[in-house]
This record gives sequence, C-alpha cells and structure tokens, in this order.
Amino acid sequence: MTDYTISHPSPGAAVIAVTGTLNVVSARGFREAIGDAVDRAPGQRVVVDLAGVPTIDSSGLGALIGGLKAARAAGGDLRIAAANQQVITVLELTNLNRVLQPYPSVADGLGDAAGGPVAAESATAAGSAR
Amino acid sequence: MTTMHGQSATHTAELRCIVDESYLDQVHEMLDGLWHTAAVAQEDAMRFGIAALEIAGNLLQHGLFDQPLVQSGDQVVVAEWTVEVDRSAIRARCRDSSAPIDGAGLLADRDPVTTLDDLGCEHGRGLALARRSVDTVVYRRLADPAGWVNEWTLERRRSA
Repeated sequence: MTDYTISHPSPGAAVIAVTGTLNVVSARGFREAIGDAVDRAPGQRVVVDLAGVPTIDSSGLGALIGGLKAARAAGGDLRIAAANQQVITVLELTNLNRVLQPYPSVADGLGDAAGGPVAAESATAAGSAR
Repeated sequence: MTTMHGQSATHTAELRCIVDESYLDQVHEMLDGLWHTAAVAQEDAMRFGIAALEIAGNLLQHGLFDQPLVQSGDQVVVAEWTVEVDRSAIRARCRDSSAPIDGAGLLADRDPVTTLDDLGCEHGRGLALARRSVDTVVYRRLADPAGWVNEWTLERRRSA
C-alpha cells in the first residue's frame, strides 16, 4: 500500500510525501495525488518528497512525467526531493534526470536556487536492493 | 511457492504463483531472500531488481489490468520464476501463461537509447530500462506441455 500526504508549507507551494513503492499498482493513485495538488492551487511549485519510496519503476516514472507536464501546463512546476540511490539510478538509466533533477531535500526543492539538484556522482542516499 | 537452495557456489530461488495485485511483492520477496543468501553486491542486486520488476510489472499490466477476464477472475494467469546466482552472473527465467506480448521481442532487442529519446512520454520505457539494467534480455513465445507461454530470460554479470 502506497500513501500520499499533501501539505502546503508556504504560499505557492505544495509537498506530496509518498510512502511506499511507486510501481504499476500504485501509479494511478500517485497520478491522482499529483493532479489533486495541481488542481487545488494551479501555478504553484509541487515538490514530491520521495524519502519514503524504496523503489520506483517505469510506471512510477510515467506518473512523475505526467505530473510535471500537468504542473507546467498550469503555470507551475514539479520537483522531486530526497530520492534514494535506486530512484536516482532509474532516472539516470532512462535519461529522465535531464527533466527531473533530484533535489537533496524538500527544503532545497522548495527553494529557488539554494541547494540545487543532486549531482549524479554525489548521490549518497542508501538504495534498496528491491 | 518459493523455494531456495544453495549449493557451494550456486544459489537458486523459485516462485510459482497466480498473477494478482500481490505479484510484485512476491517477486520482491523472492529476490530479497536470494540476495541475502547469495551475498550479492548491492549494485548488482539493485540493477537486476530493476530489470526483473520491469518484466513483472509488464505482465501485471498486460496480463491482468488489460485483461477483463483475468481481472474478474474468470481466467487465471500463472507465472513461474527461477533465479540463479553463481560466481559470475545472476540469471532469471520467467514464464507466464498470459497472451502473447505484441512487439515485445522487437522492443527487447532494440537499442534502448532510441526508446528513451522522448523525455515527455509517459509510457513505454519499461523494457528499455530493463535492458539498461542487465546485460541480456530475451523474450520468446514458445510451446510448453501446458500450452503456449511467454518466456523472459535475464542475465547480469556480477561486478563483485
């Protein structure tokens, strides 16, 4: 079971905290969670907190790309934060780190320039073998 | 059913199950047990797991979610995994009883870079991702004593 918690830590920003695996089973609920966050406050920055995500697959990636497109179409943006090594590896293998650069923390993702995206070689989060 | 037996330098895990929404969790558990028993390096385990779960997720999508008769319980799809680890490589064979997968052989053989060029696409990365995670991905539709089956084989040479 994968859970989503949406919060609004500051005006113009939303954080979706995900707990559980992002795969073909959970992708639909994940898409709906991102859609809810974008619809409630169009034009805001949405940060997806992946600290509670042990693994992601191509279906989870598809949901993230769909969310990024929806956020940008509404005049906002979507960022990902606190990804572990498995998630970062999947982003790199699919080249999607070019459009979804992982930020080291939610605070960095919410900021404008400080604490930029995680460089591939500096990613240190422990990855799950699953 | 999951069985595991380790002999000197070879460790094997097997899984036979009906494909339902618990399928991915069962594949996860089988692999985790094998990685522990065979002391597989984290990088090898992670990358092989990425490929194996893409193949499993592909079956869940096309063999369950896209098949009304299977989803309603009127038809059953069975999957069988055998995963083997020896000193040089990790190898898996997965057979399932679902319908043939259109174009899967072509996709599995295609240079994954070309399949990953469209960064805005929301679907279709799974097999390319699998190919980038291991050294070999092969799909075959073959005759089995129980009927026609899909067969996937994966191999990754161990880095440590």
